[in-house]
Order: sequence, then C-alpha cells, then structure tokens
Amino acid sequence: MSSDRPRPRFIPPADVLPRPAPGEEPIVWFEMPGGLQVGLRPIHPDDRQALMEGFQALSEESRYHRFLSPMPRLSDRQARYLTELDQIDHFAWGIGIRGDAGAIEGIGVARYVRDTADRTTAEVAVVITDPYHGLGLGTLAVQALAVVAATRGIEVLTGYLLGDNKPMVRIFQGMGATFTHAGPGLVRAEAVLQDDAPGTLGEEACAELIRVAGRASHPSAPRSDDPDQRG
Amino acid sequence: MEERIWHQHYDQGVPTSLEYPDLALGDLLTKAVDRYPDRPAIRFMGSEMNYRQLGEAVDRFSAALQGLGVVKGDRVSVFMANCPQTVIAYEAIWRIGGVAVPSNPLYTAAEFAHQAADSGSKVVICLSMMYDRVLTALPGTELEHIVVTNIKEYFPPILKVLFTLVKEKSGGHRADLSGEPRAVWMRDLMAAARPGPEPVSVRTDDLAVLMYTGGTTGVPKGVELSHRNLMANCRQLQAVSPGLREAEEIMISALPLTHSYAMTVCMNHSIDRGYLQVIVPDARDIKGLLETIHKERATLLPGVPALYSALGNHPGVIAGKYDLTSVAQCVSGAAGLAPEVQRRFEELTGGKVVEGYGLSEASPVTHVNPLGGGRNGTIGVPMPDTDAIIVDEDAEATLMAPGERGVLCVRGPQVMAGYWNQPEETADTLRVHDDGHTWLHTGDVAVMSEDGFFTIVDRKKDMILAAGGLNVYPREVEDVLYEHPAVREAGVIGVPIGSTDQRVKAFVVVDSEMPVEAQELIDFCRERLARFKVPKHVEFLDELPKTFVGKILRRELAAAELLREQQES
Repeated sequence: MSSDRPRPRFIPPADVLPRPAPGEEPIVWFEMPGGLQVGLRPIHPDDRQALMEGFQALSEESRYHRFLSPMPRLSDRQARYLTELDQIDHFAWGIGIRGDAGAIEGIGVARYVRDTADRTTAEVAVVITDPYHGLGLGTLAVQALAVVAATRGIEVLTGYLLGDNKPMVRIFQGMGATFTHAGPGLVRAEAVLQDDAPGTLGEEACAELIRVAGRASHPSAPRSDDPDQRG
Repeated sequence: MEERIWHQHYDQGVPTSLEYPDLALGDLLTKAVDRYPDRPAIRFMGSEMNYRQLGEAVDRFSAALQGLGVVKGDRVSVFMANCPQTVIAYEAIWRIGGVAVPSNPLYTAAEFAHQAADSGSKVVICLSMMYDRVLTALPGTELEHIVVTNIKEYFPPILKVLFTLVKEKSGGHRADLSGEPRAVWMRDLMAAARPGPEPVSVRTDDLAVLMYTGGTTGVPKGVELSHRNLMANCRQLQAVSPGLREAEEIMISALPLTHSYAMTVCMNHSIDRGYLQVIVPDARDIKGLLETIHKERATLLPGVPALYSALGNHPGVIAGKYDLTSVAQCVSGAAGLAPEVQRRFEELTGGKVVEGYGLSEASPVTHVNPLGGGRNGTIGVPMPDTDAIIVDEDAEATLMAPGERGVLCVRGPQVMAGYWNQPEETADTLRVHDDGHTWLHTGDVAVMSEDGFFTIVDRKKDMILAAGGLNVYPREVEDVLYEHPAVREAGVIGVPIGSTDQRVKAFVVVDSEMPVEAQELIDFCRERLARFKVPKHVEFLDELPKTFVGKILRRELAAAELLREQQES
C-alpha cells in the first residue's frame, strides 16, 4: 500500500474534540489530507434506518458499483443482512463526519464477509456517498477493514469490481492484488494481506481500530444507546 | 504510418496509409452529383432517384431546415426507418452544418426522449409511424419542430395507392398533425422551400453526428463523430476493397441507417463512390430482401451474421428460387461470424464474406479481414492508418504480448472526438498513453496473433447480442423491471440461440404480497423498451445469486441457465 499520496492522520482519542460524552460509543477519528475529519465505528442493528436512507442518497452509479445491479430500493431483508452482523465473520465500519449540529452523519460503509468455504478469505465491499468521492476515504476504509480482518484470521481480501470502478481497482492494486475476469465488465480482485499493513495507518491507529472493533464483537460491552442494555 | 506486423497481410494494392482530402460529408454528395448526375443513386421499392434528383431534394430540404431556424452546430434528430427520406435528411443536415442525431426506429418514446433531450435536438425528422412516440417524448426535450414524412412518399405510384388503401392505417403510418403547431409534413416544407440553402461553411473538423451508444454499464452516451471521422472511414473502406468499381456497384442498404455501421458502410460509402443504393425498409423481411437482391443484381451486401444465416437458410434459397450470384462482397460485423454461415453464403453467392469489427466510437470500422487471405474466427487486421494494441484488462495500461488476452485499443482518423457532455467518460475511453498517443479503449477483450490477426475473445462491456446485431445492455432492462412495483430484485442475461445471437431472459424476485404473472412483466417492458430489448422469458426466483456482501452476479444466472439447458437436452 505504499503511496506517495498524503495519508490520513490518526487523531488519538485524547485529542478528539468535542470530547465524547461518558459512555458514548467509541469512534476512531482521522483527519484526511484535505482537512476533513472522519470517524469510523462498527455498524450495528440500530443503523438499519440510516443505512436505508444512505442507500437512497447514493447516485445510480455508486449503487450500481456497490450491488452490480440498478436496484432502486434496499429490501428490508437486505437491510437486516447488512446491519445485523456477528462482528467476527461479518464486520463493517460505518464512516461518518460531524454534521453542522454536532451529530454524526453517515457517509459510507466498508464491510467484509468471511467466505463460508474458505475461512481465511473474506469479500470486501465499500460504498462512499458521492459528495465524498475522491478524498481517499475508500482507501482509508479498506485499510481499516484489513487491520480488523487480520486479527480475525483472514489472510486474503477479495472484491468483485466493475472494470470502470477505477477508484476501487486502484485501491486493490495498491494492495498488490491479482485480478481475474469474473464476467463481462467484471473482475474479481484478490489481495493477500501484508504483514506491514499497520505501517500505513500507524501502529497507534491500528491499535485503536482493533480495540473499537473488538469492543463491538464483545457482548459484555454494552452500548449506551441500546435501551435493552442500559442500566 | 509506420510499418506494422499486420501490413504483410494486406491485399495487393491496398496502401498502409491514405491521403484524406479536406472534404465534409456534404461535399461527397456534391461531387457525386457533379460526376454522375444521371446515374441512379437510390432505388426503393421499385422507384428510382438519380444523383441529380437526390442532390436537388437535399438542396431543397436543407433550405427548408434553414427556414425552421437550423443553423450550424444545431442538433437534428433523425428518427427514421430505412427509406430515401433518411438519406435526404442526413445529407440536408450535413449540408448546412447541422449535427445529425440518429435514433433507432424501434425505440420507444422514453428511449427517444432521452436521446433528444441529452443532445438538445432542436428539430426531429421522423416517419409518420413514429409521430405518436415523438409527441409523447416532447415534454422534457428542446424540440421546436417535428418534421414528419410518410414512408410511402417515395413509393412508385401504384404501390403508393395500394399502401394507402391496405397498409397505411393498420401499420400505424397514418398521422394527424392538426392541433400540433410544431408538426409539419416534410413534403409541404420542401414544396414551400427555396431550391437551395444559404451557403454554410462546413469544415471537416465540425461535428457531423452524435451517435448514441451504451457504455460499460449501459447508460447511453452521444459519440461525437466529425465529418473527417466519417469521411476517413469511407476512404479506409474503399482502400481495402480496391476491386470495387466506381459508379458501378449496387449496394444493399438493409441494416438500419440510424446505426453507425450502415450509415458509413452502406450510405456514405455509396455516395462517395457513386454507387446505387438499394434501400430495404425492413431487413427482417427475408423473402423481400432475397427478391430485392435477385432483382437488382446487388453486388454489395453488408450485414450481420444473423442476416446471412437467415438468408442462407431461407426455404426459397434452398429450393434455388433466387439467384444471389451477383453478390461479390459482404462485410459482416457486430458479432462473431460462424464458419458454417460464412461458407454457406460464399457458396451461394460465389462472393466473399469477410468479418470485420468496429464500434460507433470509431465511425465504426477499425478491422477487417483481407479479401485475399482472411482468417476465419478473427476480425482480421487494422485498416490503413489504423493502429491497434492490446493492453492488460485491469488497469488497461500495460502492453500485452502477442497471444495474450487484453483490452483492444485503437487509434486512427476515424476515432471520435469524445462523448457529448461527458468529460469523465471521454477521459476514461480516450486515454493518452506513455507513447504520447491518444488511444480509444474499446472495452472489448481481444488477442493478437504473432503475425497480427486480431480475435475478439470477450467483452468487458456487459452486453447481450440480440438478433440482427443489436445490443442490449442488461442494466437498461433491469432498470425498467425495477420500475414495476412488485419487483424486488431483477437480473437480466442473454441466453445463446444458435452460434451468435442471444435472447433476453429476466430473473426476478417479486414481493410476496404482490403476485404478478410473467406476461405482465413482459408487457410492462414492452411499453417501455424497444422490442428487441424486451425479455422473451421471465423466471421467478426466491432470491438472486449474490456474493457474500450482496453483489448480484449475472454470470451465476447465466451459468445456472446453461447447466439447466444442458440437462434438459
């Protein structure tokens, strides 16, 4: 993943402003080269509505790249599948920015789902809402995903990409992926995770990503916004 | 151009490079009128027009278009089936510097509306049978005038009467223009027009055509073709057929003239060389086409594999009723030509059937098999002044060695300037390589042999080849299916029929609370899509095959379909 492009800067939790309220869900923050601050946190079932709204906000092209189909609506079943995750075999980072009123606004999702036949392999999908294309968010999301995947015994990330989805093709190329033809217009990218993956984001950032992802997969870590879990 | 490995295969007398005169398309007709005024230019259903008459009609109609306010650079839609008025329309638009925007005659109102709106067409020239569709499409376009013509206008007198009595109404050819101030009959317009237009200086680099074509994902884009692009392609075609005789050949224009292939190979090529063009209104009428070839003693028959196959297998041909031996040369495009189809047609005609290759972005022809030493299963070699390379399929940046598959890239004088108002798509398709040249990335996957023959092995574009060489993008059909309230998921594939064509099949998942019949979905598509895009079959599934992250894989649908067909047979 070596690249001369400026990299996102990890913002250590102690430096995050405004300070999260006590008990608030942890978010891992980065500052993009252009100055935009983005936060990553695991997706959970409460995100279903936001995910469906985010889907509607995507351009036709982005939707097509994500689902390889011009589907105009996300069915309830799909939305549940994409939010009710076990956080180990199926994990997703929600990517957000701080909106005007201070609330976090979702602008993308990056997920992996482990291959049922080969548990060392997982398929990746990334979607970023259109106004935030070209900022390097896809690259950051895949790197953050790779860090978590590696801790779960996943060694290879794959992706089905349309040939004209140049940003994702480049991200996979950056990971040294090999590409195979997977149908008209479609390639299957396969990248072996490198041991030096933490080097690209920095060890501190990786540790925080792993900590936050691990917390989501741990049932004893209640989320403050879940009424059933609240004390 | 520099020497290339494939030049060794050129037929004797075929140059590797040509001189291109500074001529606009309108000049080609003017020259033909000057040189061959009394030679027949067009024959249609038995009536004939010589080059002088064609020139006069074009002069008059171009003056009429100026009267409607068409000035240089204005886009004019041509929504026509094959008939003399189509040729007159194109030539008149070009004469006054207009930009022709052809629309396939099978298009529905919605499909036409997209092209008219995207191109910003000011005027549409249409057949009366398209008039209702144009009216439906009007809102949302910038169309100011609808010029309507009835296909019978240039029928011989007796046929015209018969047509009026028997077929006009039932065939949907009757149009009532009253109540629509924007609509006018082409005939009335021409009768009232001055005999010739105000002169307009048209340069070879001016835009001549916006030819709509689907991209990788099926969203139609307007290919910008200049006078130079289209004229150059004519000259390249002539150069590879040195044996054709000026003002002697008889060309069959049966493929749609609204497609780049017939526009160049049939129409422009004929006018440039003073050939007689026999215009066939409907290539699906195989019997009619056979009778025309037989009667007219046609010598040139550009086609697509399905057409040659249908002609060769017609009972009348098998019974020896038609003499096809006048046919000297057929260039087959759009899909792979099966050896048995080629052999059969060559036997029948005694002529040559050669496979070529092209795409609208290249006016369209880039490759053709040499007449003397073609290689079956290949698309032949690049035409004069046409360079071609194969690059890797992923980044499309690394040159591949002979024998290795990759994306075919071409460059030459016939290659477009770009896509209309689509700078990103243009940059993605026309790329500057390290060699400093701009290459057209075709999206087709090909292999070049050690000695320079090219073979198409796959398409990067997801595309179904419907009968007649027409392209259907699965996404277009899926888009329409998703408009139906009951459809939750839709996947569309092409199921092979015969050796080259495919039929459209849709797999859908419907809302369990909204039961719907397959026929209802087919009818729904029929109202919104050109006939050749409508699925022939609809199959209901509980869920479409998806990858782990939820991506829909059409290839899995196709594989399952193939497996089932194999099991059934």
